[in-house]
Amino acid sequence: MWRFFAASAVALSTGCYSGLSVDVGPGGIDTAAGSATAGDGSGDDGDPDGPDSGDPQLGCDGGPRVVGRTPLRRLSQAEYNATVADLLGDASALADGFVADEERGGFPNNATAADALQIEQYRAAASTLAETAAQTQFDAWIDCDRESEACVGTFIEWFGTRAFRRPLESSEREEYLALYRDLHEDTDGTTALQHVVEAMLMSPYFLYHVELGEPGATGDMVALTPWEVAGRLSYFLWGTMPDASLMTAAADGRLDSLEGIEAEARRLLEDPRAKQSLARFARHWLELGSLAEAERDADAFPNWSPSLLGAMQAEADAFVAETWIEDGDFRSLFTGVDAQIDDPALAELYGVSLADDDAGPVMLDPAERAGVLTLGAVLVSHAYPTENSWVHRGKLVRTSFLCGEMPPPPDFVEFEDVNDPNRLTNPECSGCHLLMDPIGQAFDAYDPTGRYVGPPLVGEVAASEIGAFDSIADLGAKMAEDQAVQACLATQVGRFALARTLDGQDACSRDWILERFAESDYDLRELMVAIVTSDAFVMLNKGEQG
Amino acid sequence: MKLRRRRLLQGLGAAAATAPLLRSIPSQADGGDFPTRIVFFASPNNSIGRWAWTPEGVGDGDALPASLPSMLQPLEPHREDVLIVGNMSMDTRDKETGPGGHVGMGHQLTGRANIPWENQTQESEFWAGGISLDQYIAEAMGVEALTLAAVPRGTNGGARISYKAANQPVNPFENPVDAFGSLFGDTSLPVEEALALTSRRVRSMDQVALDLERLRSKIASDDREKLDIHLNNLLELQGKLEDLAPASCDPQAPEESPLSSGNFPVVARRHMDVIVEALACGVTRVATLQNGNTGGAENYSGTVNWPSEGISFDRSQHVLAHDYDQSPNDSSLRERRIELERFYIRQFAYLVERLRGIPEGDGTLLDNTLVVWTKGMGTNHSKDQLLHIIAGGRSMAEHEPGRFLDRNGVPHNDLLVTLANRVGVETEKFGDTDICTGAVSL
Repeated sequence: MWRFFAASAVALSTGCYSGLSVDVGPGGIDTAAGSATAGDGSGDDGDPDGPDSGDPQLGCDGGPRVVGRTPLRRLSQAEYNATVADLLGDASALADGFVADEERGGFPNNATAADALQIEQYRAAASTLAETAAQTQFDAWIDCDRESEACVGTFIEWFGTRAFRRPLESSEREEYLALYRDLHEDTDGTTALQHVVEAMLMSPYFLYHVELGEPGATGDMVALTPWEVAGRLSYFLWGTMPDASLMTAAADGRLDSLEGIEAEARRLLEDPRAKQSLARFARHWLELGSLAEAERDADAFPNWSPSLLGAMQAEADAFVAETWIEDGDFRSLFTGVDAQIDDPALAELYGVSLADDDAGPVMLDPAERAGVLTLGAVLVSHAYPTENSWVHRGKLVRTSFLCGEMPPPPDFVEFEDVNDPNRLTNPECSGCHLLMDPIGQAFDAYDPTGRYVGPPLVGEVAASEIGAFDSIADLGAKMAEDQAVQACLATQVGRFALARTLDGQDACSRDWILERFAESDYDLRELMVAIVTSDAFVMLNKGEQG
Repeated sequence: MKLRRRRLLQGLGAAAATAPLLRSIPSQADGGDFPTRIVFFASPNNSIGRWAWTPEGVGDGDALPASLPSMLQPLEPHREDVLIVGNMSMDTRDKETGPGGHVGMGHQLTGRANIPWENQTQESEFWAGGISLDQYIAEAMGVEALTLAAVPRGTNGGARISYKAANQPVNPFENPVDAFGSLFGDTSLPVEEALALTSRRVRSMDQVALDLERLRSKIASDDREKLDIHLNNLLELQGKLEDLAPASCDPQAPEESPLSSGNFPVVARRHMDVIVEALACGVTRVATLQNGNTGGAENYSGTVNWPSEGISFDRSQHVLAHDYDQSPNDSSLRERRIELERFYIRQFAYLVERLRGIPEGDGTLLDNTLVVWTKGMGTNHSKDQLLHIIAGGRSMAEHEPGRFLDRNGVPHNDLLVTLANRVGVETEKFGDTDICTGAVSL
């Protein structure tokens, strides 16, 4: 399995400007995968601090367990909104007004220090949320006397455990009680408690994904606490804080074994929130961030309507989520033709009619459509108002599905128009563009609105096992069987799960994940289980960053 | 660390019932009757070549003529307040390891090459490599810089111009309403109640600081700095709340308005209104308005539709800039390119006009303010033929507006030094000291 991930940096970039090489090795090629330190046979017995895997991980036999560093990071905007909805019943989506998420490897990460404005936004949101909670939730939450410390102590314990996603330490409980006491000198119990809640919502234990590992563990590689595992599981699979069952599982010690973690993961995957989380994954993976603002030229495309954008987004969300959870076959992502649409205009664009009963997916023409490759959302967001884009469509395949990295164009690029064949022959451009444009050209069988206009066009995925293909449907079929595409998907989901890029220290984890993905015959649900039982997911690297 | 536990001033009951609470600044510039201020106005993409903005028949040091090139026409009524500084060079680009001209976003106010985002190997993402001039001047003056951006779209090196330090971008206010609220506080509560509420919030923040310190003591060393910055920002915010007092001025709040690319011109003007209120009320002396991001205010593959400005392009500002660079002889592209720059000049002139409308002593607020037009790139996305425009500052020592200056090839760092000096912040160099040669004469 090592071969899937051991990135061989094939520099095809002689035509790119100096100083950068384009890494087009097979499969999941985050940075420097070749420099893995794991499995070096150092003789260390590698006794894991983490949950016992019960199974020696390939490529790491006998070696110490090593994982990459996860930086301290703040909740993403979506995570914040979902968390306060669960914690406080507040669905006002206040985080939409926060500074936009930073991204790393294409997914939200927020690892930079919070600056003055962000602290101010967190404070303002905490004040608003706490005030609303005092007015709308306190009566339901608290059935004892808010003027009494015994009552308040119980509340602090209960609410704090949910807000911090772990039990409070006794010193924390005392401090928050002291805060209440101090405030209570000048105001009533309810108001004092409101500001206790406000403080908790400003606390780093609420705002960050705090991961410290098991206390007392020695060395750089330590096991996460069960509460931290619960947090990772919940934010990965549901995009929100752990529910009561997951917290109970952590408290009962059921997250101390991989079997227990797997059982909880399977439970979470059966909940509708798993589909919502996968839809969020898909929006980043398929680069749909600016779809809602896409514009099409009304003269060139008289059938276009901006309302299609919402329908296309909904279809993309549903296609990925349904394929992932209900079908489960990796191949269907690139070959599926069961469209999740209920919008007549979108059906017209795809050349199909909606079933009268409005039930179930609509089957599209398998000669024209191929899973995510031909989703209207993908085709529209990777095109211009009047023209297709060979670069954007080809680059999506190269980067999102093959995990290649493409540097931005150098200064003074010369081209006559958006899709300029000169890029393929001019040696200053062709090094990079030969990796993208011959893929993108085949997408000219679809117009900028995502409509199939035919005929099928040939193309080529250079520097890849996929090679030449006859049509986008053929490309999808070939990608569905391609090891590099399989490995890249595992990498992309891994980046989403860990909110970081994977590095050489994660090589063992990637082997573990890919081995299980392959054993399941590429079942997408099993990919999720493999990820949450990998060392990268259940362990923490406390060492300093290289 | 000892936490601040100052009590709010009591006995303010005599103040107007709902006067806005704000933090007034005591400092004044040395010697002058009114404090010096500085505003940076950054517009996206590159400068058009010097032909587009060099007044006809005018040489270095000459007075600006009544008739300016068409791109600069909105400045004609203000020409006696304006200094055009042409042809400086962004020499920090020579040290830049990241590709492409848009890295200049991080250079323009810091005078340094960027630092690739930590551990972001093989990707071109970057944060700037040091403190930006606006933050530097604000620190020296003991005020908080006001950092605003109209539709910057994202949190990355191409969407940030202002920095506290290397790898520490300052997130700008994107909504003028939020910026106003932060500066002037909540005006909806009676003063006594507002102060009591603030006092409780300040006390809650003490507990948050304790949590931050506890977490800091347990976390891996790489992450401690983040918590230090978080704690520092929290304590500063706490101090700000503690210092609030009823305002003596009557600032006008901006109206809510969509933060969309289509509404970009309006958002940018409302930001400018907030800047004017802030400078006039004395809540800060330093402000930055970033217009869009390094490429514009819309999708790369989008279009520009600003009916109120009479502007409609079938491609994004960024694509237009590139297309024009590649086909400079295409008259239709050239027209639109100039039209776009003239739009930004018109916006710049709006700010100048508004500052000029506020009397201060015998003159106006504009006389005590430098308004600085900057860009992240020179012609053709290169480091050359940068255009800087400096408006206002008539009352400042050695400052003589109304002229055209050709500072061909002088590193732009040198201008950053001069700007600091003009507003009373003494420094000999700024940014990369290998590149900066000292103040440039203006």
